[in-house]
Amino acid sequence: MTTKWKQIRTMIKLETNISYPTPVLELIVSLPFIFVSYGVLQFIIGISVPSYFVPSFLFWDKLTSTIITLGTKEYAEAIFSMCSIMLFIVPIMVTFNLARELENEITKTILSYPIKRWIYFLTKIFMIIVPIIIAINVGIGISVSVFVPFGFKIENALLMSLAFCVLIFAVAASTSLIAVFTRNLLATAVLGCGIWYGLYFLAILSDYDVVLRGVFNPALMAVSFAGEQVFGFIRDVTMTDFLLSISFSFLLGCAMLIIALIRFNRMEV
Amino acid sequence: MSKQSCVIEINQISKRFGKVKALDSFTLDIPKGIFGLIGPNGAGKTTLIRILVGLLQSYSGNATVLGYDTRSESVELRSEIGILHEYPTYPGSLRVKQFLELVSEFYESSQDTDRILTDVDLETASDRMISNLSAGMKQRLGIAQALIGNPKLLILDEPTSNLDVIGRWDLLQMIARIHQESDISVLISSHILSELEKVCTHVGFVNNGVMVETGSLANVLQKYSGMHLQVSAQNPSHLNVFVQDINGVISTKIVGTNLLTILFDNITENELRMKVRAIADEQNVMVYSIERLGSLEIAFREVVKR
Repeated sequence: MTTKWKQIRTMIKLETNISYPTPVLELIVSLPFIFVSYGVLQFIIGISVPSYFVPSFLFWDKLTSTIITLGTKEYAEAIFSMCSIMLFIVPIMVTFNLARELENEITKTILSYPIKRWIYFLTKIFMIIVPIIIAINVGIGISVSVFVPFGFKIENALLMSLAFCVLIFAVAASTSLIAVFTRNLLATAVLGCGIWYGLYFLAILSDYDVVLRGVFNPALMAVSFAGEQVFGFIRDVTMTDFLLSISFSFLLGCAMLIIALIRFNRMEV
Repeated sequence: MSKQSCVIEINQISKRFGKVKALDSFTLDIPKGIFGLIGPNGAGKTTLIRILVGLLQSYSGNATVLGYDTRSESVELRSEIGILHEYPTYPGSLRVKQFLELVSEFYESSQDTDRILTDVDLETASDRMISNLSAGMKQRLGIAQALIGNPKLLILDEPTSNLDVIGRWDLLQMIARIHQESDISVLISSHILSELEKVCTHVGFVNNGVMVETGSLANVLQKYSGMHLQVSAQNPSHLNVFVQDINGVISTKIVGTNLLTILFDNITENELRMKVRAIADEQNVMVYSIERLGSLEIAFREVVKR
């Protein structure tokens, strides 16, 4: 019988060939660029898109003056805005990977080979989470390297990065939970994105319900801890608050992933 | 049948899907060779195969495949068998050879992909995308992926279900050749009985989730379909008038222009042959041949009717 590691290695190879064809790879690679450009544009022109079309010499003037006078607020806003992109990308990737293969029975074909179910399931989730986390952190790294000379603190970027990792993990875990219960592409996509977008807006609109904010708390706290009252409703955030919040989100993600794994192990394919 | 010569042992397996009882105290020992699992659609064949390869876990009873328990040792047993599902799905974005090479890595030892592709007549399609293969080619790919890990047992669920007549015949010939050349035992499930009759050494009839009859192909044919004689004669309708009156003849049927089929009981085959020939001589009807009519289809009908 093949060893556990050989099964994992083979599964990763299979995943990179089946689930990451060119369009998805392009999407992942584009993430850091989306991130960087998002951050830079916010610095330079705020959210006023028309000013992007100013003559080029004025653009460079604006860039220079912005970099000289920049703070961290816009940067933090850019990071928080990335949450909305993640809430779309992560569920869609889980949907088109796990849910699609459950629906079209490729899962049945692969589980007919000598591979343990937990290896199949966790490798899939790993292969969804890791590329996105790498892409996001490359983006954060590039941004930080640009902005640190102007006063941005590296530890704040690290906290934001950690918050993002937990957010991605929790969203992927919840969507995989939906996928193994529904085994349906459309239902996973709608529920996977819908639930988190719903909570996202609740998190923004409601400044008192900590439970409803769920996984967004780390991201919110990270940007507040970075030194600015970004959205004006989280105040006096300490490192303890941040760590408690991120632990809660991480544990929530772990619990959802464990339930999904148990369900997948008992699933009749 | 000794337990040692069995590749699969199934003991009292029952499985429900909601209110539907798919398998009911199903017991069967499958010997080495080519075993045909025969039954109508919905009889429980696919459910049984899913249990045997460890894809279904919640059921009562137990089963072993090549000595491995289907619940606790499903990964080990899958490393020694090859499976072709009914209407299989393979990743369409991969090329044929690329897919087989990836699958081969799941196994401790595997066959050379080029050799397998030649064996299943897919060598010219090795660089084609799986999504561009015809139905027949996909079934051949299914056989190839089942063979890649040097299996001791092949489990094929309705392997000919989406093929045309020529494709079916080619595939069955291929299965028989693989069995002869590699001594791999094969379990084939199908509801197309005429196909299984051509390749199987043993058969089992499944109906409503119950194993109703099993044995070697020769024994089953002898037992259930040996009661039919087919007389080829110049004027079967005239012959029929007198044959109907023979003691032991249950019914007769004229097929086409010169065939008379006789269902009989309580009379030996030889006695009946002699009486038919005597009547033919008496009535001046030329008889070309008298043959025992035996087919799985007749046997299956007889078994299910009981």
